[in-house]
Amino acid sequence: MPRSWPWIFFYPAILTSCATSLRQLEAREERCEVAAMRKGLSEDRSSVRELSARGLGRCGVIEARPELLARALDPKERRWVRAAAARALGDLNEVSADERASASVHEALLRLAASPRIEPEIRLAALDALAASSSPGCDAIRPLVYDDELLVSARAQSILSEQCPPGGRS
Amino acid sequence: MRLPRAAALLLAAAMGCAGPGALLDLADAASDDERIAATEKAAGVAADPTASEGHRVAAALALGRLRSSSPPVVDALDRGLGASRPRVRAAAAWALGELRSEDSLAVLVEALKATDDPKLGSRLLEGLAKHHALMAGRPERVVPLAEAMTRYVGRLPDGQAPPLLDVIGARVRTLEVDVEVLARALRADRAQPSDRTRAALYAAAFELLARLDRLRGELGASGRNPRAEEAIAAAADVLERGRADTSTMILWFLGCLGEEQVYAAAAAMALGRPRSEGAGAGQRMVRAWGLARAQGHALEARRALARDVLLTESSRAVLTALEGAVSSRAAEGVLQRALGIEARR
Repeated sequence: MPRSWPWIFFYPAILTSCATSLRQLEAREERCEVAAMRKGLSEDRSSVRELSARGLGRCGVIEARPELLARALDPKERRWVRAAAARALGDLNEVSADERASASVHEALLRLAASPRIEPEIRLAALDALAASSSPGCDAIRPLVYDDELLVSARAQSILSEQCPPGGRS
Repeated sequence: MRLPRAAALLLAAAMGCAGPGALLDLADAASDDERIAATEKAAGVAADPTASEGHRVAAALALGRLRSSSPPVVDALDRGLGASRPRVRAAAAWALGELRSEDSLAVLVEALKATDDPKLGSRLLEGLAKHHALMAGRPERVVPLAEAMTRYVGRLPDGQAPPLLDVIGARVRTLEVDVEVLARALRADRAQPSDRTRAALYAAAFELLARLDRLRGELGASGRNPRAEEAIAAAADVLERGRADTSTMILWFLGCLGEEQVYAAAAAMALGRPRSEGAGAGQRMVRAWGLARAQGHALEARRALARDVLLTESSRAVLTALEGAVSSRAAEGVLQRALGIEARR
């Protein structure tokens, strides 16, 4: 059997790996193809997972909240996917009527934002998600002004100045 | 035999069957060999001026995600900073920020020094903020950054520093850094004066004096402080350049600082320096006001008042401002004592 034989079998796989282009993923998001995006959260390619998470948030797919939360909290997940999932949770909390679930997500986002061991990209995404809420959690965000990560500190400062009146609590 | 993932991806890219998505996927490389191959591929595209915008952006994002700070990567992203497309430049700046290395820091600093594009400047500042850990306690790294930040602000259309610049400055700049930055700005303005060097000089002097203002009370409530004196002397050196706006700003700050005992002597010495010929009434007014504020703490201020203001000043506006400054401090007899000093001479 020729040495190149395996390549014949994997050629379709290579083509398939080309199949879902960025444009197609973006089109899915524009059309809010929920089923495809939820499936995309489990894809091999991190770019697909990332864009799927983003799309689910933008399309307001509340039912996807548990999966997005799992992605955001998964220490083995790529940091850019975790960040996209965190931001999507912010989008969903804005539109959700389920206060209990929203509160639970809110707490998770605060923990992500406050943890110095978490990648800064994820922490910033968590802060962005909190900022999308009318009650971002001022008391919990306030200490982050002194965070070692400058971007986290700057983002916390901007949230406090825009959404948290001095002396007020939320 | 399973085809190695990286080989599959590279093959796909080589066959041209994938767009930017395939480049983004390079960031999924897992093993060391895969990462090396992926980095090389992405760097090649990121640096290629003939590649499409989408490809170059995706390649830069992949490099930022892979976080290899090898020289070819840094060089490729440096080229991206010089691209004609804003999105390519922004992606390159972001990726350089992710690298968090000395080389990426140096590239970002040079880029900030050179740009007058506020959008790119914001991305560069974000990238620089990510290098904070590299700069902590390392003035040799902070001074070039502070210099770049000062020049950048000087070039902005409205001179308004973006908030992140202040956050970075508050964390990494010290009085000593600001003195060095001002000295460099002064040297540059002396060597080849231009609108840019003048703006940079103004910004550097302002940063230094604003820091002294913020440090009130921290440098010691009484007595003299060598750090403060060196800083004030550095600011006073700028007065010799004779730039009206910069000089007026410096004189005003010196007047504010002169009220603090720890700053008074140095501020009085600086205010008491012979004034440049042709200084306008506004500058002379601010100087006289500053000397009046400092005289409660520093004999030098009283002497300078008597010698330079009361003896020679002819402008009613300046003398009125001086009288107001003196009387508002309820310093009875101060003006008379100043005149007395003059009379004894």
